[in-house]
Amino acid sequence: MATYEHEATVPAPREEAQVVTARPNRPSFRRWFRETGWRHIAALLGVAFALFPIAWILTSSVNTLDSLTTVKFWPAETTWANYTGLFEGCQWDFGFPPFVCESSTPFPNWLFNSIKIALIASSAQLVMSALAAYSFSRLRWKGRRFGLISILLIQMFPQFLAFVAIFLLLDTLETTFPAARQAPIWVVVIPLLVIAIGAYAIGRMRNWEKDRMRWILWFVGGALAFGALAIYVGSDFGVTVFPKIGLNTHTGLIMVYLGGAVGVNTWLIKGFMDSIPTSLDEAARVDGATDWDIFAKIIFPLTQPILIVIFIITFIGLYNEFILAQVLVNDVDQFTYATGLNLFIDSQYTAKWGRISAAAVIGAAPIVVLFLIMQDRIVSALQGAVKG
Amino acid sequence: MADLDVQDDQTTAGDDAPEQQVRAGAGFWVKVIGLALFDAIVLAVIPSLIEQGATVALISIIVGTLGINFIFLSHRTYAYRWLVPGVVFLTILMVWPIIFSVYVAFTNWSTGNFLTKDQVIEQLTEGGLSLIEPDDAPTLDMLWFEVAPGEFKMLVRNPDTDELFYGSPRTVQDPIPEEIVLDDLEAAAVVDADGDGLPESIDGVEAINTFAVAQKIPDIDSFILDIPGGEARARTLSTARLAQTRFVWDETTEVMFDRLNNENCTEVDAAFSCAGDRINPGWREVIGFGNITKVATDPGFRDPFVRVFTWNVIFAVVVVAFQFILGLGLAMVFQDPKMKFKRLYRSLLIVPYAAPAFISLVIWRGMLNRSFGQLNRALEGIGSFFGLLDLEVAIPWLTDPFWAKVAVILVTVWQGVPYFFLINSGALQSIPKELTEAARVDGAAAPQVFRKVTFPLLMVSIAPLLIASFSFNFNNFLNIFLITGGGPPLTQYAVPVGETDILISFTFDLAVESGRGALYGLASALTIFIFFIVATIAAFSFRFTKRLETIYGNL
Repeated sequence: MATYEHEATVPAPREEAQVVTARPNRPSFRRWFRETGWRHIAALLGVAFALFPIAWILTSSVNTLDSLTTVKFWPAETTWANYTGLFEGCQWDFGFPPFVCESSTPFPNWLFNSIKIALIASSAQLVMSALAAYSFSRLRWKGRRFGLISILLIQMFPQFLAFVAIFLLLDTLETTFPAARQAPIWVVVIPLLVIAIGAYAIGRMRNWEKDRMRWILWFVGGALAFGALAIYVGSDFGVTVFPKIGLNTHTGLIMVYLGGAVGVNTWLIKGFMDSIPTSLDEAARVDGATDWDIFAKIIFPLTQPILIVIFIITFIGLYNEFILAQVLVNDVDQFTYATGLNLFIDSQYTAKWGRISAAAVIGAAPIVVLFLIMQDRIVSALQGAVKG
Repeated sequence: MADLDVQDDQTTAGDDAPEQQVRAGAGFWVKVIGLALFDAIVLAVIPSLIEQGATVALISIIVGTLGINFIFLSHRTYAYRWLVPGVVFLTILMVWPIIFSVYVAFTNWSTGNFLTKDQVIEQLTEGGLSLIEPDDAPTLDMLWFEVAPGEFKMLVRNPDTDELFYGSPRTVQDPIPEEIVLDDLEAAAVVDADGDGLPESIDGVEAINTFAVAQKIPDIDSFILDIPGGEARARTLSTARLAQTRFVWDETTEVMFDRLNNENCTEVDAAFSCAGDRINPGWREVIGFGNITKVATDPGFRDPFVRVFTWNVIFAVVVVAFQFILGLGLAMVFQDPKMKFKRLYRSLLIVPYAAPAFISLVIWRGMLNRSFGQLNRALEGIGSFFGLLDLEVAIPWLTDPFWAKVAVILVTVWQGVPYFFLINSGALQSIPKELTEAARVDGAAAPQVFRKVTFPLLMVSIAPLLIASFSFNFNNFLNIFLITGGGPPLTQYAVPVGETDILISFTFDLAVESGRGALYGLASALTIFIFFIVATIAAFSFRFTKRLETIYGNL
């Protein structure tokens, strides 16, 4: 890994030699300032510019005074009330939503929802992306080049601007899926017919004879699972088989996020996989490993450095996502942290600035800390683009 | 994994594997059950799709499901199995919305033209909203029958056509039924002894004497019988008036007739026009390049579009320039190996990049507030540091056209500097020291070395990222939306547009709200325009930086 520190140490020996020659007559302050000192001043100015808003949000979150009018940069008195106030009146409920709050701004729910949604969606995205990347990197198939280029092109279309289409799609899903729970008995008959026709068609293919057993197993399994799942379990006993999909549900939102799973990240992972020598998988193949074995036991572990960075960046991106969450979810208890904070600010803009600051700190702190812990990896991933 | 898969997934070795090795392992069962569950869900959904008449969705779902089954069951499609999970979601939630947006871009879809033509016709001809009762409305003969104690049925006869309608009436307060429900007189035992067309008894129930009606049904004028073409409403004890829907759709000639004005309506601009009035709602229809010509020729759309586009380019260029220059400056500050605390400085400097963008934008919005915002207070503080004690800064950051633009640029630069700082540091370190030192030895001054050696080398690696960053900021929706919301608004235009609106936020506003409601068609057309701009920039970037070669090298 060509990290920042590493690069800095490479030319060091020569520089040290210069320092040694200069040391006998101790450098004056002027000289030090001209060579190095001004750099500290410039750096401090940069840090001040970078941290000013963050410092202000930290101080106002512990300020006893609450409104934008009265909050000063240095609080006269400090308090944790703004932080505790966010969770006041909320009870853990073991249900859904997980907290029951007295106030109209259930902050703990928002935080919980955001973490849940971002965690599920980014994990699923990562798995899908890694699987696709393996296929692009290691397998050879028709349409591979076309697929890679299409992925890049599709990503250039701003997904959220298609929100009208996404909205209509989720709306349709909402009306279609509950109906599926009360499906009549003939839905068993037709699928079985379809399966039979399919079986006949596939059975005429070249490899049918050899794999007869697996086809039969497959059809029996399919029919059984279908019968058990869709019809009686669902409608007769009033059990909800399918999670509610559609507008105003987290399932729907996560699905929309998964639409972006195969994208730029697939490219990045594929590029990383390309750099893993194929001799490794060939050796494994000789020992009888399947593609899945090679993926799970060789490629996936070796790809981990980039996967972790991508996971974190995706997680942060989804945790941050605002527009789709705003358009698709409108029940306050189901809000994410981003839409919740926005509501918070809209409703109490000047009144509760301390509370808003505290909410911002709670939301941002874990992300910033995570980022700073991972900074070496992230920085080297970023710099990879310019170092070639 | 399954031994079975060993045999079938390796197309090279599998074909001659002996059959006794075929055993179903755990992986095989996972696949079978997964696929069966997937099929089960799809199949369970199909009846409801049929019911809704969603033909396109139905066909795509069936084809897609068959395709997925085939991919998972055939040897030859093994490589595609890895793509299925991602591509399914990509297709449904990215590709389909894009295709749909392209379709919408060629329609007039908007709040006023939201329904299909069939739905509009249905609403106009069947809804209770457009009922009229003109002076010459037909007067119907009416009789009442007490089928059970306290339960009455109503019979009306249209004297012009001699048609009879018989059924349970509803009261005025009841909702208008979706379907007209009448009793079938053909099947009933109807007795019309005097032959006047009005039966005296139905199924053995005698008609109530006209004078007894008033006693038995005192609130008679609140009853309505829905019959085809309108509502029969009791007016006297023995007659009803027919309130008809204003519009009648003639299936054969496909013409809408307006009963109020007694004339046929024309179709103007995807709506019916009756006696010169546009009848709302209109319907959506494909209008070809109408949205594009509208933006190109209609000053009401062209002027704001040009204005937004110009500002969009300025915004992206200025932001990227400042981000790059400040980032490069910072990176050069740290190019001294003797300098201490570099790691600490770096950790602090990248905080704006690490903080969730959404949160920092919201915080900035608070800081930019004119009277209470900390930015103005901070400027006062800096002023007092230089001795300007009574300085009062009240810059209207969010409400003044000029300062709002400065504000969005300032915040966007603040967010992006750390990124450019990091990549410039990386790029500077990758420039061989020998080159700059050789230049110094040859007598070049430091600025000259920078201009002639460092900077050109830097641009080789940074240029593609500058273009990518331009493209990102060109579409930096979140920053505009959260800092100024596009404002301050430009009220002279009919469309919702503000001083700091960029193309993508302008598009969003068009699709969400507008003086005339949401304009989905126009917004979608602009979305496709944005897509082409971004794609062009990307193609340009690939071409001129030869990045494409390295990408194609991996294909």
